[in-house]
Amino acid sequence: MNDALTLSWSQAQAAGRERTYRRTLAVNLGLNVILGLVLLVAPVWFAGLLGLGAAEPAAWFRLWGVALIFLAALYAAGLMLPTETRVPNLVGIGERTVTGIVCLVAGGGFLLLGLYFVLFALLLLVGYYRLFQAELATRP
Amino acid sequence: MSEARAVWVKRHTWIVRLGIVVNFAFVIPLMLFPEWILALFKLPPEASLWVRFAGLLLGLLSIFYVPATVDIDRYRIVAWLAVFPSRTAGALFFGAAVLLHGHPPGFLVAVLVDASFALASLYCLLQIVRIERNGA
Repeated sequence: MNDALTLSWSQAQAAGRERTYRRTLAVNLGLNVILGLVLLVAPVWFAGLLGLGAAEPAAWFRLWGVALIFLAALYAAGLMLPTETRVPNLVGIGERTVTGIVCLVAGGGFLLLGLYFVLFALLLLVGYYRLFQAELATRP
Repeated sequence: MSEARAVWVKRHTWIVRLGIVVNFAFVIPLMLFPEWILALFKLPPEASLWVRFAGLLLGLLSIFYVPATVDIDRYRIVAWLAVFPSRTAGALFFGAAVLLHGHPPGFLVAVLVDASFALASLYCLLQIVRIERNGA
């Protein structure tokens, strides 16, 4: 019998894909928290770095920072139990896609942010899809 | 599920849902009519893109509250995270912005909204936990 037809092989595949998805998500959430802290602590510096010219953007930039950190915290359930808590994971992928598209449409200095959000949305979407394919295969 | 627990779960669900609706009462004008809402709360005019983006993030944050209203047992951690840090830190952030950093008092509306919903949903969650611990 082919190894790929055994339940243990399918379970190992699912576990591997879950690890990959969780690592990708953890990296993304870590980066979001760092981005949020930078926005919170040094908003004017960050605006200058990306060329987001605004006379006094500090208050609203800080608000973005706080919101990004909160979003990362609310995602914690999705990170800990990705297959059991589907909604936060799916909402999170949608959220990154929408944020990324808004940034790309805004253009200028937002392009980099847009690419960052869209890239992780795609990585997480593919990772989550593959995880569910493997997870379903463990339940013959 | 005991009747008392069911009552508190229902109350929690409606409070969180109301909080989401109230959030969206800010999200929609922040995204579509930023100048109008800034003027309404006597906040200084800013480049509208920053304000719209803040509205978008608030909307996305609010959507994350939904799972706890659908199945509080499966998404219990989301219900707690909506209180700590989300609503609580939101109230602290805006409170500190106004009281410590001299931002306009219009931001106190956010303190009022976040603190009210944090306290109300926290009370419901504590009641649910109390009933569960008593084995009712």
